[in-house]
Amino acid sequence: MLESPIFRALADPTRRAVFERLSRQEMNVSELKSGFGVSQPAISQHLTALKNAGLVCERREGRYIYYRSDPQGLAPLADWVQRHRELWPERIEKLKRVLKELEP
Amino acid sequence: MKHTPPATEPIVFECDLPHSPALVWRALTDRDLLGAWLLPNDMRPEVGARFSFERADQQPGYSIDCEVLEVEPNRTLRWRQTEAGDPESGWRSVTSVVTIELTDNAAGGTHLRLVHGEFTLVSAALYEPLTAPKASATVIRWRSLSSTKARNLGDIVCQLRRAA
Repeated sequence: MLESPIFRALADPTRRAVFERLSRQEMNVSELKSGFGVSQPAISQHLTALKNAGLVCERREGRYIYYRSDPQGLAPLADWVQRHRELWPERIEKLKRVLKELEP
Repeated sequence: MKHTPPATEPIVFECDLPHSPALVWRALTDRDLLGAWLLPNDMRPEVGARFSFERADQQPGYSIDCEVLEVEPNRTLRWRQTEAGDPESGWRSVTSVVTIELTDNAAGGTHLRLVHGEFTLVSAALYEPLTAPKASATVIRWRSLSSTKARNLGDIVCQLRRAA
């Protein structure tokens, strides 16, 4: 069934910044923490959210875990956009036929 | 490390029609005419009006929920739409904005420009509490910085929002 979620969204610039940094370079939590004025648990929570959304993946090396943005996380959107990219020209062709019938 | 981004740039489609903008406008805003080329709907061309497109090709009851954002008769129609995503891929819904602009062309007809963008994915994670008991919600929204091709994820503005 279709759900129409109603959001009362609040921008979270820190989470956005975490994602953007990880899209440029793989990092562990302490590397990520430097540069942000937030605690390590806060960074970890952002990472959890990003991982749950499929936007960040992790790799363990010794006692460190390294994080990076997962481009596959964005793949479903690309598929959806591609479907619509193909649909619009077909729809406009139908519009042309409708207009032709309207013309007196 | 560099990653290749998906195509999340807006869809832009343009064409010229031999009809007047007023006639094209009718085909965009009259329910029956709109239904004849797009999808069955209950459109009202008023800012703030909510309407739905019914997708008979999908499961019964599947609809695309819309809200009219901008109406300038014979010129501009813009709406936001939300439709269910693919639950298996982890995305619950996709919200996007469709803008159709009509201008007079030199041939006495209409130039139609359609932009479909501002794609917003809502993750399935939205519905699952990250840390019990207070569930937080994550909405991922992005758009291209420009119409030029985005070459890495850093080119995509990604706004992560938390809904209370």
